[in-house]
Amino acid sequence: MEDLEMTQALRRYVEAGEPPFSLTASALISQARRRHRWRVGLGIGGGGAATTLTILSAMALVPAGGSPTLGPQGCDVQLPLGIWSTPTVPPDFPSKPTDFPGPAPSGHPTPTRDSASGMTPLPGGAGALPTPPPWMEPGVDKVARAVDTSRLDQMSCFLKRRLLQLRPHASFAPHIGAPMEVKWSTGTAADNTRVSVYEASAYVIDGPLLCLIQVVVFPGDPGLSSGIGHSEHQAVATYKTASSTIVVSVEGGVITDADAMAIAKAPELDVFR
Amino acid sequence: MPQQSWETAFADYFAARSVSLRRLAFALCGDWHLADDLVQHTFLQLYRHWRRLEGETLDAYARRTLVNAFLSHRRRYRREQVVAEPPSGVAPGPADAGSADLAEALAALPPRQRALVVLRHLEDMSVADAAELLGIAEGTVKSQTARALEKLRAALAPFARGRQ
Repeated sequence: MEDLEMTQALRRYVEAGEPPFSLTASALISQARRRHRWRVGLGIGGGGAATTLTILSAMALVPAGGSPTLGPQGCDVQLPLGIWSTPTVPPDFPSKPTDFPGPAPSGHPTPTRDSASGMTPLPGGAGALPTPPPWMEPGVDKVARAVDTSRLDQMSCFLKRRLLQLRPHASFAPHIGAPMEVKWSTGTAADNTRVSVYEASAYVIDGPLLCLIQVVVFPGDPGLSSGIGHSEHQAVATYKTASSTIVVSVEGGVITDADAMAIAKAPELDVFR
Repeated sequence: MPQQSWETAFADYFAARSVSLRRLAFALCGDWHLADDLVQHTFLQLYRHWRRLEGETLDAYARRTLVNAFLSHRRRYRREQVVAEPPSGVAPGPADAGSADLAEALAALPPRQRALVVLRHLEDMSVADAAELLGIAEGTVKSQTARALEKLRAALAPFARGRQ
């Protein structure tokens, strides 16, 4: 196949059977404004605060329909929960509620879920084994139960402790579920087997800084190697043990690359050991 | 710049470039649903940084954001998403047999090689531009693209012969 043929074949491939595009500029702008307000509301921007909301408990932050996040048993570390203002907007943003497209802000602002991470909070009370959601096929159940929840408790507790050491003056806001509590989902490994995936995440608020930190642990993946990678505004530390792959993703430089890698290397995160 | 003014410019840019970026995204990932997500992510990033971007660098920034989002997605989220409800509507597959063959062959390529083939042959980017976008050496662009094309030709040859 010559170069020209390749170009033509690619054009045919992307143009033939193209479904209608549902995304519109106005919808995008609405979503972008909401995200902007969310970031600004967490403390990045200036402007006057209209309302101040305090997160009272992790329970209030569980997504609708979800179950309470499993609390770490025997872990006495409590992350100071973030306080933010809504809406705190810069002067060039419309301030009237009628200018705010989409649903009105709810009593407990839950950030928009990232489309790339459909995590489920760990169901059940403290000490309970993770139970897969009912729509999941039976085989996954066995995979999920292969990890002792005490390890997940250790993971959560370690992350909280470490973040408090690294950012003693920071407060923490939920990303998906309560800050740095372990959530569970399943995924497909490189060999197409279903595996459990554990994630803990939080927004870190420290002075003018607002950054997202995410820690994802899944069984060893031959496609990934240990190391630090960077993309725009984000550093990703990946560490592989004999059994687990640990990915620590840090936005906005809230902790250094070395600290991110040190977290990834912590034995507490090797939950599939 | 007043907000309305730059948001109008943003909307104009969306109208002008969203379709081609969506096709680029589809060529990269082979899934229209994911392509839409990648395009959405790209335009949200564009919106966020719009006032700091120069007009002549917009296309490069948009492409870089999209390609990085694709590579990042492949690297970090190589797993199925668990959702309560199936997605609305089924993403259509390639319309013709030739495109189906190409889709299969592209899917077998490593993500970066696939990105290079798409950037060089669909987007008609120069070696230098592709190297800058991906942050790799020009020599790597040439060798990886050549290797990818070799694999594609090898993968497509039996299909081409079968139709003759």
